[in-house]
Amino acid sequence: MLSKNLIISFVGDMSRFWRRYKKNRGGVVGLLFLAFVVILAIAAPAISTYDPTKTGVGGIFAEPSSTHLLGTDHLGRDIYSRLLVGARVALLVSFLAAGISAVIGSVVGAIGGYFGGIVDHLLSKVTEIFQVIPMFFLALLLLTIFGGSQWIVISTIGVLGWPSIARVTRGEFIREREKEYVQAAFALGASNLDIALFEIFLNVLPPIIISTCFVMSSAMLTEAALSFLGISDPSIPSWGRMIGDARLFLFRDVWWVLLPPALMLCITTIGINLIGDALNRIIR
Amino acid sequence: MLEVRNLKKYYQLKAGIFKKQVGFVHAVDGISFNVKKGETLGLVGESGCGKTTAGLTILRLIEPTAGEVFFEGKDIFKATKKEMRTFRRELQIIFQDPYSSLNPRMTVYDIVSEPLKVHGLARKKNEKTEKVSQLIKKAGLSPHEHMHRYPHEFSGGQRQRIGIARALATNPKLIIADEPVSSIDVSVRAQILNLLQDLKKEFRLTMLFISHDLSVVKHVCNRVAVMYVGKIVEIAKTKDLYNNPQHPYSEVLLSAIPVPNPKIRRKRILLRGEVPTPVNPPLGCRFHPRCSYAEPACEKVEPKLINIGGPDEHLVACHLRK
Ligand SMILES: Nc1ncnc2c1ncn2[C@@H]1O[C@H](COP(=O)(O)OP(=O)(O)O)[C@@H](O)[C@H]1O
Ligand SMILES: [Mg+2]
Repeated sequence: MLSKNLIISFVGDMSRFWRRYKKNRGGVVGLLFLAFVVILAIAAPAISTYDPTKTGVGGIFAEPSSTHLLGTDHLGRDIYSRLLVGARVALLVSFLAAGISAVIGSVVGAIGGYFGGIVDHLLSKVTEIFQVIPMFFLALLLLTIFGGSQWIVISTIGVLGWPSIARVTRGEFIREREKEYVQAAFALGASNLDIALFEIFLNVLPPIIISTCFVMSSAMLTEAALSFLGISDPSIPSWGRMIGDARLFLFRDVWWVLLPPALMLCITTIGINLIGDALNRIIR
Repeated sequence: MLEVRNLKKYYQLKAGIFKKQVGFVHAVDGISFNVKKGETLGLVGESGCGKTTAGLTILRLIEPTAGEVFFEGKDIFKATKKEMRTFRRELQIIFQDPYSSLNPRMTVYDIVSEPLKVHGLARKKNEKTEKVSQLIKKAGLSPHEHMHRYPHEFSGGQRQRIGIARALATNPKLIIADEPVSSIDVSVRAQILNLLQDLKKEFRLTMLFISHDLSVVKHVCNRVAVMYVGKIVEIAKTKDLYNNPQHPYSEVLLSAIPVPNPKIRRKRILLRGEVPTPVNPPLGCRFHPRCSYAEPACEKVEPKLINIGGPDEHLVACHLRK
């Protein structure tokens, strides 16, 4: 009976939230874009027609046809199949990298904002430093040193992407820290960890999620850019790598090599950004 | 049971873009009083005179500037971390604002069970649920209906009941109630006050009852301390204070209470001047610029709180009462 009440109240909250969300046209479009890509990624094994990494499954630069829906590339690989697996790569890399950024950023921001004083001062300086160094070149450097395996790409992008999340979290913690419910928790004897984790964090979660959305879309672009430059694992079909490969053959009239991955990248990042914007509007 | 000695809290006053410190707010400036076991002591005074600051400082929720507070003989300001945990269990506070003092993202169950969790008072889940239901019921809400709702779904009076249930969860010995009814609807104030009275009896509580409204204090308190700009000017039994106020400021406050019986006409005393700021409080007696009996001594020498009531203790800080 009690858990039933809890579920009812949760469902109520969600339906109220959805009523507001669906009024935001950009947000709905973003959700459709992202849903499209997510469905492709999930269904990839079922709907792809060839092994995406196998060369010579068709002729070189075969035009789109019924056998190769989006044609083939310079090694005769099936672009449609590569595109589907590319969706998996893009989502996985950006999601995990953004997750790493969110954990680091919210811990750093929470500690600084909660304790203030010298701790905050130091952490803010560190955050600033991370923000002014040119991330992309640092990532290039790191990946050249450590090699471009997918896990290293993910961790590098994740470790470099946290400052914006830390800034948002810090600001929110400073604001919440002053509220009376925090004083009430102190009066009960709650510890700093209890208060930061179980009282304040619940209240600052929405802005953290929103800034993580934006970090995720930029992580996706970073991954694409790294692959474009040929830094990441060549055996993994990534949209960035597909665009990078296509670049070399632009003098030939092979639009199907370039356009599909570029379009997918746009749709996905724009979709995530639109969702972030919509959520932002709703909580303000 | 609770003894406050020469308690001071000065807030730093900062101004300008560089946040330079430009002075102090003398919010609480050397107050002393005690609360006896089982009684309710009222702390009254106009808004801004330092009542909330006094309450929060006593509980060490904000750091004191000077002074001592003893609870059952032990100094709260010198307590170790472990001793502080005990104090946190035995002393509780009910906040003035039932909107900002409840976490908007926690359900009633989360809010009321938090003190149980923090102090390990109910280990098992069903034990905790049972205890929370009891507390909610005692505070006049329905466990079945209200336990899993969020604060925004309640009215001000109901929220204050949630705050009361939370304060009672640790089975405290003393509760500081900071204007518990001043920010809720007039129509439900009496209910909340009655609830507090009942619970006080049932839980054998001692209470420090903060209020700016003398008509409320009259029904709730055994003794009353009157505060003016960071200082206590008079402490007496409620009856003595209402029938025979000794400080000119108490007299003014009492004259402002509306009288229910229109046949009895009380002369309402109007104050001249304004409440002085606690940044630069007046020298001597802080009330002298507005006092109609002020003498030259009042401008220079600060009056001490002395007993003029014999065994019944009627303390007053005024040069005119000796
Ligand atoms: N955090 C603070 N910083 C600076 N000044 C404060 C702060 N809190 C309260 N004050 C000032 O201290 C004085 C006493 O405030 P308060 O204790 O809230 O009075 P009361 O509860 O009697 O209305 C007021 O002048 C108020 O402006
Ligand atoms: Mg107050």
